[in-house]
Amino acid sequence: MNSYKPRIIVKLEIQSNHVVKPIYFEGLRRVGMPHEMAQKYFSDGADELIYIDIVASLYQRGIDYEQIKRASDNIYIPLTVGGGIRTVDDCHRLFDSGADKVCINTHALQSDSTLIDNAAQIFGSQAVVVNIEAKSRADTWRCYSDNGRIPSSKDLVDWVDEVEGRGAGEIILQSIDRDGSRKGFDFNLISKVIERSHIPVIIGSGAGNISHIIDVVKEFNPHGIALSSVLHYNKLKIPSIIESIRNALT
Amino acid sequence: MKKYGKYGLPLKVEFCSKCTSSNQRPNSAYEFKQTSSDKKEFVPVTSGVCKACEYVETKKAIDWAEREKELKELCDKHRKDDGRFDVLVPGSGGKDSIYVANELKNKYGMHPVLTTWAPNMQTSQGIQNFNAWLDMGFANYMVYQNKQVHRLLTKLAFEELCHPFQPFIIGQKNMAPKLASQLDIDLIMFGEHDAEFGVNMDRMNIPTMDLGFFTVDNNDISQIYLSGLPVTELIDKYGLSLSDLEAYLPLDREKFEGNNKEFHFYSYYKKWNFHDNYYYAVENSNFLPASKRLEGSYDKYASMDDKIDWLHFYTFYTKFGIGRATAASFQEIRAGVITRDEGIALVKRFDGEFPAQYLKDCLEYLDITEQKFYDITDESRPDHLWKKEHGEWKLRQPIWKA
Amino acid sequence: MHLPNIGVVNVGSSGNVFNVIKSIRYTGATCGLIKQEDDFSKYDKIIFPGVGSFPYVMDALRNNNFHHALIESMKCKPTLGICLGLQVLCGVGHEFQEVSGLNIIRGEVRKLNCSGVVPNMGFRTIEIVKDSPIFKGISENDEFYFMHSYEVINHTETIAISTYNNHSYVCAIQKDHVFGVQFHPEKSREPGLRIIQNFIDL
Repeated sequence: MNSYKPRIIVKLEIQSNHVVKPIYFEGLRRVGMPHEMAQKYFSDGADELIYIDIVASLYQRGIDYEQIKRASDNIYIPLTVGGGIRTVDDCHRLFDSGADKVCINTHALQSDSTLIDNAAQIFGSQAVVVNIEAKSRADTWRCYSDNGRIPSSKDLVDWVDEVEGRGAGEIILQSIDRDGSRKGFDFNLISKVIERSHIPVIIGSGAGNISHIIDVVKEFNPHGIALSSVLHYNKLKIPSIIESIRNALT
Repeated sequence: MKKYGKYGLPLKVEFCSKCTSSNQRPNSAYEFKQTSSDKKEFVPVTSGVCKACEYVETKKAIDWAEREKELKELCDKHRKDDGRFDVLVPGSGGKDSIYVANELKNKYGMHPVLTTWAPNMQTSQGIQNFNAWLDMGFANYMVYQNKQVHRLLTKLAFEELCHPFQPFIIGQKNMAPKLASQLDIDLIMFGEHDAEFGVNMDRMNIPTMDLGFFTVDNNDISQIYLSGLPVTELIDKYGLSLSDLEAYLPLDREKFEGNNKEFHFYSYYKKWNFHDNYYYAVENSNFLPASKRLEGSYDKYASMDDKIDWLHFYTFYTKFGIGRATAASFQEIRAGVITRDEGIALVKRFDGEFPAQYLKDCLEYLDITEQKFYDITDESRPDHLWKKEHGEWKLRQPIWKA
Repeated sequence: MHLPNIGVVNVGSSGNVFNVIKSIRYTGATCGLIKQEDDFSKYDKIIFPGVGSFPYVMDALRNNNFHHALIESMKCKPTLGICLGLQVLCGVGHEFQEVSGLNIIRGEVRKLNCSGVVPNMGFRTIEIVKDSPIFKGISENDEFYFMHSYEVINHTETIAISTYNNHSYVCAIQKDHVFGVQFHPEKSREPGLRIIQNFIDL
């Protein structure tokens, strides 16, 4: 009963009224509308959705709660929402708009990491996800903010340890070097995080074909896999991914 | 005594209602006629809209299928069936030159050869993307300047005009025509034409380059200025020879009017999109964006192969109040990717950021002190654009307060 | 026949109240928020979603004087506690510090005792160990979404268990007409909506 299987999570990157798909965290090519795409992936069998407003921090503007409400309408799977979260009050409002978990990066990474502690205490660790945008540098990785373009002073490993200590319940791990490229996952990056993390890690960035996904499942048994490009451009469909994984694991 | 005037800029600052540009943008000049006392022509904002945004509307009405047909005819005319090079594509390995070269080769069956005017100080991103360009399967005629001469001219251009990029622009504009005249290639294909920037709009429906950019009538060097100084002074006072200046001197118009060489703009034939070209480059080559946002802007993908770019954008900012974030945002607004409000937020946050990253490299390159750098850039700021507040320079009318 | 009117307890952090209401409306039932003591009387059945931590939820209940109102209401009205809403039905919780719960069922709440990483996050199948009307139409292949770091330890009112990393834990209880589920029916697709429907149909 309940043998291992990874959660299939779809990442929706939002800019204003559109779902977009950057490559290497640059570019804002439109791929659809938030509500339509959320519905589609829910119907296709996704386990969870991640909805990130990728420009709220960069443009220094507020969160569009109404759009989140519309996107979450008729969705009955967990919805993680992030982008521009600065205060606990933002989190309250997000839960009131359909979020099941909140996803934090820029503000905690660059300004005030106690946001993580405060959110975890009020909403519970299980509802607080930290988004890590990692870029390789020499033989390590640096954590970035504002949609993968402003480096922080935090080294990857230190930040992973820190967010866990502050009460984050989950990490979504993204690679700036791979995201949107469909060239495969960064195994070194994933290994670095999974080997030391005590909380679930959702790995993202790089899936381009079914082999990429099967290989990463076999190697790491990740808790979750975040997909965007490979689904948005119809390279793979969710039901076939789920089945291929099931076959690979038996 | 001021070495550069205040450009004849309109005293009333007007912003375009559609993008982040203003009426303080200079029209593209014939650089080798430029002196420090010049009054520039400016790109106006008419009825609240800048020329480049007007052109965006014009582009919507263009029959692009028809234009592509013209491109195919042009290619048919020049294509060498025996497989020899038949089109020269100048560029630096940025997203635009990757797009143009690759389409000509793979979509239109041409045999392009590339050419590059060596960057002043190539960045690591520049090296990566230059190699990515070549790795698509191209040969490249690389033109290296006499660096001693080039650095002197760059230094003088900075001192005389606060325009360090000028010698590079001049050399780059001259290079392809000069090379083409020596090769058995009649077609030269540039990227975007000036209409995309709202300048030289009288030529917006003309696919070819204005010969005035690299030719003069009667090759009389006494009429030519480089770095804002008469060539005669460069020879007499600075000891430069004609061979030193060869790369920067325009060609004789007569020579070009007679021959078969044709200088075209790809953006005339294919609907140009600044932002889409980034995707084209990353999806079709090993082109990579910068590792972090470019200083003075929010983007990671435009004008990043030469350390002088940083200085260029900064001097553009001090002279005209238009920085890298403004330039990137108005391009992305016109490309339909961000809204004007979003552009303004980005300009407010990043425009005019001090170019610390490569300042030291640039000072060494220009052989000037940091103090001299501040003196020149401070002096370049027009009074009607800038004021000093608590020792800091502030724009009198920033776009986010307009 | 009147439409059942469901009251959703909204105290402390609103947490997943919005989504619980969404799933109730999906079934066609009417519902509203219980924000003060008097509100309890307006509703036929009560759903108690809980988000945050055991001490946080208990504090919120006590501060709003819901503590007694809720216990009173549970004596006669069918009640469904979700996630923390299940956990606080126990006698005591050990999250952060020892805090007493509503003491509706005998049991305590402790950190998940398993080898896997915590929280337990994801879709899991459940094993029904005692028949219950809220499981009508639920099959052994149905999966429900769990997101929790603490588990209920109880031996008397358990109606379903689940497993995570080979560790069995309580995932549903029933005592008379008080129900509690560790999973989130509002996040569990069609099977979850069925649980909600079954509760509303009681």
